[in-house]
Amino acid sequence: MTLSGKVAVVTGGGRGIGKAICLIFAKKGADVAVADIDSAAAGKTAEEVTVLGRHSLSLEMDVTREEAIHSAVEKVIKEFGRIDIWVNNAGIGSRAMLHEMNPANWDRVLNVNLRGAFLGTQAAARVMMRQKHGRIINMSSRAAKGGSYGHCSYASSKAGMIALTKSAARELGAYNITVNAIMPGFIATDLTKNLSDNITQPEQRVLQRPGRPEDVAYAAAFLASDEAEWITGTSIEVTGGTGMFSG
Amino acid sequence: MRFNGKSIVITGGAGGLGRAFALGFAQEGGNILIADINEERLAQNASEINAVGGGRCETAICDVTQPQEVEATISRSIACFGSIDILINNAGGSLGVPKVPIDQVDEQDWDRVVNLNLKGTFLCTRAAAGHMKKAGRGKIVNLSSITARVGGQLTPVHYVSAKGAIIAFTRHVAQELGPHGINVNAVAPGIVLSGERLEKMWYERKTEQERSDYLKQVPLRRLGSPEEIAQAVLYLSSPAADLITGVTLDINGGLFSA
Repeated sequence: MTLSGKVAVVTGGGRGIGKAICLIFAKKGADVAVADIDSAAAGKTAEEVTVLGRHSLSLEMDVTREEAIHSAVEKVIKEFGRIDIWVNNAGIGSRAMLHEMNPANWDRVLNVNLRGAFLGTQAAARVMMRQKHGRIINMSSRAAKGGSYGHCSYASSKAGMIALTKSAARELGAYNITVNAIMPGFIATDLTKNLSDNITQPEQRVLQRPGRPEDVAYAAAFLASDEAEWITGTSIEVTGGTGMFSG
Repeated sequence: MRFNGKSIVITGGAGGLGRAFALGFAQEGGNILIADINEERLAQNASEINAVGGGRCETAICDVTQPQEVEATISRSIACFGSIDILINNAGGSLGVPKVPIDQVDEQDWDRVVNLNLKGTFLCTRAAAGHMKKAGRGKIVNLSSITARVGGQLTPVHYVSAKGAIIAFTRHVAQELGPHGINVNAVAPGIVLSGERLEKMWYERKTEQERSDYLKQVPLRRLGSPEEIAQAVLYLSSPAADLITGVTLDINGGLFSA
């Protein structure tokens, strides 16, 4: 499986799953534009992409700001001439019980995760429709289908991303653009270091190890590759067996 | 070379999908045993696969509804290649039974189709699971179908039901075998013209208008190829999918997704 010569944009590429996606894409031959609200983190991932022998671009991007996305797209087009792969990975979580949740918390999470993915998909679609090809990958979550105790805003935003994925797949298929989602289970990253894997205790895990960012990155690489040309509108669970909702 | 030295059993190896799967694995170094009841086609596919280089291909005459034949096939893969690392439960089909209203479905037809698709998948999984558990690793990929998701516009109820049951079978066996390091997943392909019967169904039993209306519902506006299904099967069989188990991957150009 190769991504040789492809141009990818990964939002939230500064750390965690997004960073793993940038590096796996680079190892498979893609040039990568690393976007993150934390420009230093984006820069660091971009440097690592360069060390792997691929071209990279570091972009400061707050996915809630439309103009930030548009200026990022301009920079990528200027540098690489096209966008083959766009990964809407930027996301946040916020722990609060439903009955205590401040609506501002809800708005913030939906704004970054779902509206951010919408804006990213829209910006990518406009470029890819002209190109008559492209791959869009949305980072959803097992929580989209299973819910999440104490994280209803997060789970709702991720469920919205599934419907966004399916709708975009229907609209963009005629332009040879595929749109798919990944639903990771518990993955050990900075975002999750203060959370316990409380949905499944280790002894209840189906596969006997926690998920790693690379597990998710490999799924993204598959969906971004030529091998996945007839797959669109779908969501792949990468959970080690703790979900199995797509069955 | 994702499958260098791996031992792979593919049932339904005489057909178009089985051939594409075997070619894909062989090109990446896998040793393959293709099993089927159609001896002549099996031999043709094997010589073609052996000609591409990469891994070796052997054949086994096997009716997947017969426990002894299934056991013998799995034993043969171990005799040939020393292990069984990957099992692709691809044997299946609707056996040309008529698509009739439910009140007219023939009971024997029901049994034949469900046995071929579901019991065959069960028997092969049973025969391979013990060896994989001993090895502490393994990958199983089952073949479901888009008909399991949306009902059978084109296919009879027996086939639709068996392919639906394969999704539940996959989930259950994945839970059970996960602690042994074994991944169990399924793919649910949309329409792929992988053999003469399907080509006939598509080109002769449908008018041009019907075909074009159908394709308009498919976001990517085309049918799939056996190679595209093969690539998904190879991915699920590879180390890159080590954290994926119990899922059914829809490959259908966007027509439907769970």
